[in-house]
Amino acid sequence: MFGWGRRFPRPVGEREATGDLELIYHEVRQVLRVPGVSVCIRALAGEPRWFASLWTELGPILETTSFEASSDLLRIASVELASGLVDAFGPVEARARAGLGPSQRHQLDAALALHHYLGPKLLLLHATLRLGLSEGATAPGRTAPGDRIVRGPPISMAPLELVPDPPSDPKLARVFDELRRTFGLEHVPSLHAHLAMWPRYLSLATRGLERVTLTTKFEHAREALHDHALELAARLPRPLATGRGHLRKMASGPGRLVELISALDRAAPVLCLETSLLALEVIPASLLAASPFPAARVGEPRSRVHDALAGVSGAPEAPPLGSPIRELGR
Amino acid sequence: MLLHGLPTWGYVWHPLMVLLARERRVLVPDLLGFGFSDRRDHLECGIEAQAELLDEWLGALGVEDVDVAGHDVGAGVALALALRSPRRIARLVLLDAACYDSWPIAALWMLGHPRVRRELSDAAVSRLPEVIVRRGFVRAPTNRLVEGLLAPYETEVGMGSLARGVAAMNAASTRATSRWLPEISAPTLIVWGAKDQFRNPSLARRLALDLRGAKTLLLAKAGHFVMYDRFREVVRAMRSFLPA
Repeated sequence: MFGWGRRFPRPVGEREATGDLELIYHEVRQVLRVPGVSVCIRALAGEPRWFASLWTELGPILETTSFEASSDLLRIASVELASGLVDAFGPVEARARAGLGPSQRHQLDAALALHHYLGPKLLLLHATLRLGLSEGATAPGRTAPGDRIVRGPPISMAPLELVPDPPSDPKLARVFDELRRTFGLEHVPSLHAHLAMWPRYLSLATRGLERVTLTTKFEHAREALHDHALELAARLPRPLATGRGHLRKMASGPGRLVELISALDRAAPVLCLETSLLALEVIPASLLAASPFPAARVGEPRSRVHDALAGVSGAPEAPPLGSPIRELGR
Repeated sequence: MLLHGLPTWGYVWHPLMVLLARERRVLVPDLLGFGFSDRRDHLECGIEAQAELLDEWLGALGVEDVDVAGHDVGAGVALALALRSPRRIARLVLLDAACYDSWPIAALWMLGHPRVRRELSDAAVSRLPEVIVRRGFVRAPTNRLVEGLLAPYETEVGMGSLARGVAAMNAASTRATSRWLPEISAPTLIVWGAKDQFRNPSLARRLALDLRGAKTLLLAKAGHFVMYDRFREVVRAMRSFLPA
């Protein structure tokens, strides 16, 4: 899984994954409730032996109501911090200027909803890994069925569609190179690879975000969100596989893996804030703070489960997520 | 309304729609699950479902009177729509139509078959749509055109949706509707490439028999993408057949 000259393990694509990893990827989609495996997780899977051992413990933690509730808190925090940044610097205004048609706007909004849901969960996941490195593992604990959320992506959630990296378009390739440099990663984050489906929008968004992300205010917001994530992660069980000793035993390139975990931990709060900033162009903060895809608890009454699977928000004026097409199963 | 086939999208109509748009309103939807339309994996993408959706869409747009041109599977959808909503459909143009049991072609079918996907490398599978498209031309298309025609299927999601859609679309629907074809009252023009490697030109003759009064235009030196191989003739024929 290593290439010569690579700083980090090479991400394993969804279609590339075979055997146990293919099964784990299926579980990742079910447990995180998203239709695809984000690139950061694929990068962690670049150490397959370690990743498999991590997932055995981590998967059940991600499926708990506590993990989901903590992610919801991080989402609220991200939106609050991003609102403060909008007050200070004005909105990003990428969507308004990108010249998108109604279908494209609809799909873009659905993409932002997906990342707005997923980002805080990944932030918490990376914080958990980071804490494992610095403080070691904790007792795994036991979860009762009632502590679990209903698995599977909501049917109204957009597909996680990522423009291949490197892209064939040279302008987009330059944007991707810049993103890799900005985030200190060898892959382009899923958020940007997805928004690259609308290249003009991505270009305007990255320029608009730069105005904000290069400021001290943004750095303070990033730190605040990161610290909040570490606080919440500290209250969750930490897999043995996150400990340095285990990592050194199971990974073929432990040094690179540690660097990757650190880099992902640094990038995650930035990605949450960027998503919130972009989404605030479309949805007011009061609505954005709510989870776009609230999870039902296992054992809850059927209608609530069904609504959660469909991605129906409890908010009375929920943003128009999902397709206008009649959905099967309703 | 112009309906595309597989493995393409509304872009297949781009030279034609620019000309037609000078004289009339032109609608070019991407079929559900294809092109850049919704590609989530639980959607029903078969021919009947497409016709139903388009019927509702036209209703929502307030379009009561529409001429429909369909290429390949798009023609199959056009026929299903004409049967479903005869009052709404004024005229039909069918280009190298997916009809009877003449489709899907083996190469497309392979995209959706799990065993084939296990046995072929990812690279080989991802090249299949390009191989199919290039075989559909008599005059070699430019790389730019081929890229444009396949643009929505460049991502894993796009390719996955294409494969799912192809697996969902099969000849059961067109076989079932074939007995009702004589009921279609909309005046119909059938256009076919004489060198179409995917749909034998004899199908054009068979369709013309079933669609009473249909006109047929068989174009020599034209393949499956007849609207590119014989662009001028197709434009002329459509303009003359469809009232401005």
